[in-house]
Amino acid sequence: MSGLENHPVVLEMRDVTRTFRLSRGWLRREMLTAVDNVSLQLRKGDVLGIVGESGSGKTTLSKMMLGLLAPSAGEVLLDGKPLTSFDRRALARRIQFVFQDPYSSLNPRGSIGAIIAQPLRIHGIGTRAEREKRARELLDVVGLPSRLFDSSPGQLSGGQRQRVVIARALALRPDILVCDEPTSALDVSVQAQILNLLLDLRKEFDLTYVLVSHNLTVIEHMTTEVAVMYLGRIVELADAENLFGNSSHPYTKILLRSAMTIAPGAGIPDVEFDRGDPAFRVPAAARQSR
Amino acid sequence: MLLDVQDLTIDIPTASGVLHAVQGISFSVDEGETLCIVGESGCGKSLTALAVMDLLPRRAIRAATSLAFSGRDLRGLSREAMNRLRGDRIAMIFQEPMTSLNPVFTIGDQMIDVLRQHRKVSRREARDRAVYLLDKVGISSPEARLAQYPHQLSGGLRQRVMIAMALMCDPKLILADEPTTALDVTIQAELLRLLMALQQEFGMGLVLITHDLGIVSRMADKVAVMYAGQIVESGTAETIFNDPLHPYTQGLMACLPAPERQRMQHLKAIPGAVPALVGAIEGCRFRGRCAHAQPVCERDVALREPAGAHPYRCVLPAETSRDNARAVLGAGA
Amino acid sequence: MPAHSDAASAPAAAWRMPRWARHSGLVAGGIILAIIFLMGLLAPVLAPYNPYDQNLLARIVPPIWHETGTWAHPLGTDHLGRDYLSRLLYGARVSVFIGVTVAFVSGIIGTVLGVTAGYFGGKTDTVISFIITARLALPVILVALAVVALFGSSLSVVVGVLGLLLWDRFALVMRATTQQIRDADFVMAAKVQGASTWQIIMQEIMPNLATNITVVATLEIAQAIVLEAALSFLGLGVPPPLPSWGLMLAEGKSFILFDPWLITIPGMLLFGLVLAINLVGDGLRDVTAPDSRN
Repeated sequence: MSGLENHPVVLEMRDVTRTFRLSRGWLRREMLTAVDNVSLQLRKGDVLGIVGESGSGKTTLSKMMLGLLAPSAGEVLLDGKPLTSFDRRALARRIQFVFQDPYSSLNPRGSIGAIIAQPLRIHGIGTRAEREKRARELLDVVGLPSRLFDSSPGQLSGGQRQRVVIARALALRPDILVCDEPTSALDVSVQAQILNLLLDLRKEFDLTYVLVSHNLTVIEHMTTEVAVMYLGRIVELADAENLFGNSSHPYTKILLRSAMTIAPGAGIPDVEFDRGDPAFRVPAAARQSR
Repeated sequence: MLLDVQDLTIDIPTASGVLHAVQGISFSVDEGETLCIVGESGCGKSLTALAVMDLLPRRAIRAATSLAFSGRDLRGLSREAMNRLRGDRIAMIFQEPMTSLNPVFTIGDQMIDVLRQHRKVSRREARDRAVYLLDKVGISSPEARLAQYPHQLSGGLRQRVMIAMALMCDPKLILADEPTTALDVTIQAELLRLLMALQQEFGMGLVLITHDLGIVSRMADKVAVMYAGQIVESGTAETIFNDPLHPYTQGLMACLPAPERQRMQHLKAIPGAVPALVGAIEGCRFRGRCAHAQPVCERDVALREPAGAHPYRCVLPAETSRDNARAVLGAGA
Repeated sequence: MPAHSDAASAPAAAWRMPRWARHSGLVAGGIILAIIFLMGLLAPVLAPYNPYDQNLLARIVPPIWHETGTWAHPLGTDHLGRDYLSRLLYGARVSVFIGVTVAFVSGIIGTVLGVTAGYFGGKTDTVISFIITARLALPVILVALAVVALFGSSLSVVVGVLGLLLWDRFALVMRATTQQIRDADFVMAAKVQGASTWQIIMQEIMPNLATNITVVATLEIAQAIVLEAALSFLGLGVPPPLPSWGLMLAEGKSFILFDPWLITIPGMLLFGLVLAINLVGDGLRDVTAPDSRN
């Protein structure tokens, strides 16, 4: 158990479905169900890992949490109120996003200081001088030297850029951070730096995380709860310890087996399975706890 | 020796000075053997593969004391001779199969062309071989696939096609540069298994270039760890992973999240970032990020092989290194 | 492998010339352009004569390098005895003014249309794309000739007609570039931060279009100057006696056999101006590309 059962639910998804129209045919309409009837709760202080392969709907799901995409059916609740009742700015102060690619998520035309202060500028918070001061503080919070304040993104390494992305996400003091593959574009030695930073910030700012990743060892290390997604559905939702200790779902088992941990001479595991098999889409038994 | 590379150096002139991308690396691969070159972005591992294939960017300067394939010196080879070798005796598999397959030709046309470029065979025979190999790499209804275009296939299927295409001329050596990095974990495992099986069946040499230590530990016979253009440690997979001697190798192994590590606790990150390789560089390339750096590290360090140890590029005695490894990696090491 | 390399970072900072100064095309174009702008700007000070003053006793005086040339008229006089140097100096004003104003007007029209189409997409894009296609179907010279023939020729008519006709390239380039940038993560980041559409367009999209706007603008300035010259050559550009280089070409055309300098001097200036503008445009594109090593 993650010990957070009594914490209030901050974000909730109720029977959320999202479909996309694939072809623009006049008579023929092909629909793709990217997220299929998903329900989950995010409690204060949780780190919810969403793990799945490409096409599993994890990115669509995280976009709906941020209000960037509207669900086709079902609803997303923030503090028990529908996400649609918040305006874009109010939402921005509660929930922020860390992107996968630190190269395309920073405007190449801005200075680092301006990029970090941008949310404050958009929200008209503080004077110019106050915003600059706050941006310098944030630079320090994410462990970047203040001499980078006037640099342009092109002069920074991938790890440094990801720190800038995190600083910008923290500028409005949100309490929820959705991180979409925050380290998969980075080198492994830098990945550890960023994961450590995320762990520190969680304590320092009392943050609640949603961590989307295909990397199981990262998910295992970083989360309290894990949702395993397969073809748009959450097939298993469990405490991290439970899931990695004794998972019940066949797809989760395959994912766990395909994680390439260091094991000299162990060879590559056999994970072949029938992707069309409907058994994989059946969710594991409803959780007992909670 | 199938491929023997000695003292390979790659310099790339840039606007701000010469980029010393690769600085005197040596390695060799035998038939049926897997060599993994492991390192992070910018360490020179991809350029190394391109240098063997003579596919470096035009302005890059390649030098080596030996660059031999099956006893044949590749250095003096004419462009035509190299073209004949490439895709025939030596094949290459790239990271992004979408960009290495031509989008305007069908899978079949491209596979047939590869064979007919190098062998005097009829279209019929080439087609038969394509079908045989597509089946071999686990693609269902291979006859029908021949008529498809690359964009009609998923990423995993495209990479299978790339592998089948690489095998068309029955090569002796395959260079695979991050062949599964863009793919999902389950598909990655399937493909790597396939690659290993094919390699054993056909007795090919395999050079696998990757940043993923887990894959390396599971596939490699021999490992070369690269950092900032140099090999910092090399040996059999067993020795490298059970007895890592270079602080960088130790750091790489320690910084990975793994089931046995304490959850939600700090990982042992390697501080800092890879140094710039432009202009004159001296001393140990890793000293800026190394916990054991000392004044002597300001001087260049040679790859040395003391008694009872494998080659590594560090001034620390093997025993001290082993103590350090136990400290960072825990008792298991 | 992570797709981006950190290894090629900059070497230890050494003092070097700023990037723009090392671009020889930009420097050469910039110098020519500066000279021509100064010529126009300082025409009242530099010109030895009033460009409109006729002196029928001194018609078609050859320039100084001819045997019969005289320092009284260093570049000679035209068929009405007007000082050629003075007319060229004032002509620089007209040509540069037309180029810049036309590019400005068409730049605003084209950028607004292109960015709107590119950012919003869908039906907006369909409508604007139709407008662009319709515009591309119009032959510029013929429409300009027709309008000038209807409303009479004056500087403002020429500027207005060309400005309303030359925005297509702006619109096409801005539309394509905006479509690319619209889906970039940093635009999504601004949305997540609660930025309004206006803020996103002005703060995220526009700065990334600056390079393209500059490059297209230089192309359009050059094209407008050449078109004005062509219209004047056909007798439908700026009305005489206004000294435009195109008009001077037109007026000199009857003397091309015996007094070719009447055509070669304004022709070469026109050539130099258009070349310089293109050099500067290319140079700016190279130099202002964001500092990125990946």
